[in-house]
Amino acid sequence: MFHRNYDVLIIGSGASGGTAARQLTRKGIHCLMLDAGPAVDFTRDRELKKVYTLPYRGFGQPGRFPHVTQADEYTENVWADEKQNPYTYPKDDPYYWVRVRLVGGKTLFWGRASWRLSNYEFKCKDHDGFGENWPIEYNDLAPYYDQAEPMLRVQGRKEGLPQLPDGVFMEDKSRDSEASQRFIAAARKRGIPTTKERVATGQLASSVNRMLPDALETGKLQIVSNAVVRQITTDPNTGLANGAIFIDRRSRQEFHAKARVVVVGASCLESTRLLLNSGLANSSGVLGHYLFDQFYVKDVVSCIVPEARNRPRPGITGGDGYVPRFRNLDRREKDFLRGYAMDFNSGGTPNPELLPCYGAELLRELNELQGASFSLTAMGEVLPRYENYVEIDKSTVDAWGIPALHIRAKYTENEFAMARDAMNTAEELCHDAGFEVLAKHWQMVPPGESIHELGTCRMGDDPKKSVLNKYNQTHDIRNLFVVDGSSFVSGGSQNPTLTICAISMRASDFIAEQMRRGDI
Amino acid sequence: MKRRTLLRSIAAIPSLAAGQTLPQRETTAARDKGLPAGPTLIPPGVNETPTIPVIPADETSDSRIRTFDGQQLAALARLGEVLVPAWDGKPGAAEAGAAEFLDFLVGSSPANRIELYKSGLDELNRRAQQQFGKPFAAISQADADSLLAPLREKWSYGRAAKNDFEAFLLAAKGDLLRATVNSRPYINAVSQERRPRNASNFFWYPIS
Ligand SMILES: Cc1cc2nc3c(=O)[nH]c(=O)nc-3n(C[C@H](O)[C@H](O)[C@H](O)COP(=O)(O)OP(=O)(O)OC[C@H]3O[C@@H](n4cnc5c(N)ncnc54)[C@H](O)[C@@H]3O)c2cc1C
Repeated sequence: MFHRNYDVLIIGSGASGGTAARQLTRKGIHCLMLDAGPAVDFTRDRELKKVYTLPYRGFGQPGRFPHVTQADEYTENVWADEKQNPYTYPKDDPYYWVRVRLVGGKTLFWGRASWRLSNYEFKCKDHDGFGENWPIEYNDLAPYYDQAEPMLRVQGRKEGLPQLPDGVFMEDKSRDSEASQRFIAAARKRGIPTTKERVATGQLASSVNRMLPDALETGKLQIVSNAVVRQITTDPNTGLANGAIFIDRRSRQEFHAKARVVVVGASCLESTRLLLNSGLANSSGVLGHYLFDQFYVKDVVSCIVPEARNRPRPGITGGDGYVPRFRNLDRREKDFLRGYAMDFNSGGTPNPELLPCYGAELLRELNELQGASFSLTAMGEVLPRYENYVEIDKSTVDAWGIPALHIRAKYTENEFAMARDAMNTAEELCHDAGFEVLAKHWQMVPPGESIHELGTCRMGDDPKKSVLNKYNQTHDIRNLFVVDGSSFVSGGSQNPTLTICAISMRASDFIAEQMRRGDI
Repeated sequence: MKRRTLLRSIAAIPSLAAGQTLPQRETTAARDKGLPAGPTLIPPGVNETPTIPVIPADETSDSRIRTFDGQQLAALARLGEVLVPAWDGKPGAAEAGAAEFLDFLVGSSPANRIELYKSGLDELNRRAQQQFGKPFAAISQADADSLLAPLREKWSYGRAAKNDFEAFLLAAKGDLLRATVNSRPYINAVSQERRPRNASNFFWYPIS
């Protein structure tokens, strides 16, 4: 028998768990990390292959991932298998839940866009009266953003925008292409800000190369892979968390890991599922509620840059940029609350589906238009609503017998109005920039597909309205923490991972201090 | 050493050792029958285990047609010729076996996709028969163009959802093109170009 009692048990090894491990171990705290998936060996598990050698010519096995539009035949084996990991939703309201069960989690595949939230999000209720404020404000998190950006080696441009605070970036000095310059000028004329994308740099900026190595270097982290956590356990005498029961993914053997503190970072909905299945931390009754994400309208406007036809010279197109939220900042100006951001990029070839031709004409067009496309994707804030929630579906279990989630999420007129506004604005800007608009639409992808699921275990000062306090500590159990996106109170339109890392760092510092003082 | 590491290190060594495959060359016997030569293996030493060279099925055999009937497949093949012809020295849908591949791909798909294709191809034949007295496979390019008019309309979102026939045409246009440009003949042709399209990527094996 091992009878090991770790200082901290961390559940999940992705952005949130990896960051917690890094922060805690560097303060001398012994951590045990459990992750449901195997560890990747990048030389053994991947091989460069030509598309025609794949069994389905790159189309992928039809029907294998009905909810993961990101899956292609190259990556099919990395997404959590939907049959082994089922979930349910109301018949007419599909939810696309995208999961990666590997050591490193979704950070192995993320797009690396890294933005700070601002007080427009943290103090959203003060601003427009809807929802709740976070129990923290921007200044509470700023020092942790300052650490998270160098950890992820974020590159970007400083702009001085209050809705998109600057950070500790590697400066992006790349030149904007002519198409970008024209778009930026058109936006400026209408008072709409733009900036370069802010991204974590390197081909891979994941927990496995940015967070876990630092933690492992301390000699204070042990990681168990293939460890599917089923339940967080508590001491019947004290009511405090004392560990977790996990199942070996392959053999189904059960184990009980013990620790003084439990930190859950299994990703937004998995963390909430685990708490619900454990019957813990829900005295408020809001655990599972206030699910939101960001709605995406992919290719809200697709254009051709006419001057780039036939590639007369380099520099006309290429590169990308970002339109930060600009609506409803200083005054209420539209028929919706909050706002949206847009990514823009140029230099690709237009989607053949959008070209109204076929045959030799289509092939000629595709050839001449190589590199001539310009398109935008809109990403909008989704209002956190009690009615959007997850609960345990008692009739469905996963391959390890663990009850699955039932997910209910619907967008409302606020989001639809925003999406229409995004389409119209993007079209106007592209028109002003002299681009030829091929297609526009405002059809958002189903909830979940943005892979920015947030809420369901939210923070707050009031234990009746929230699950966690401002340090991600459950109101009910003082040595149980949840450090991922489930803790968000609102999400803005910024991709959430940088904030997840900052929050996880802040919670970890609090844990370390509480442990030092003997309070937990 | 892992199999793939072994293969890679072999590739780096110019001289060939026992148990390795020689580059393909045409043997007299193969040439006589008009067949390509298979790879030749140098017999391994007693305690060596060679990796036996294999080749993909579609280089040797025709895909069995199991989803579409003869008329449907003929219509799809003709649609491939019209939508994705050979062009600029590169093979088209016909040379890429795109219709036969889609018989397999669509046949392996959820029922609604099978239905979209079957009813779309039937509709194409019905319209050809009604307007030109022949199945789609037998009509001229000009007549085909008149049946394919929806594909020359400006794109608008949700159009496909309103009309099954248009949805089929749009799906077939995208699928035939992709099945063509992802095919071996097409990629072999573009790899001769000055700046070949990158047709490779990292394939992830199941991680155990
Ligand atoms: C294709 C793609 C692109 C993205 N692009 C961006 C982007 O540009 N910017 C951005 O901000 N975000 C992006 N994201 C989202 C980003 O990856 C996530 O926000 C981030 O990884 C969340 O971190 P996490 O720790 O909460 O979850 P994860 O990184 O998913 O890690 C959770 C871990 O917990 C483990 N786990 C789950 N359940 C259990 C259990 N019961 N027991 C034990 N372990 C468990 C999982 O195996 C997993 O390893 C993208 C995601 C994807 C997939």
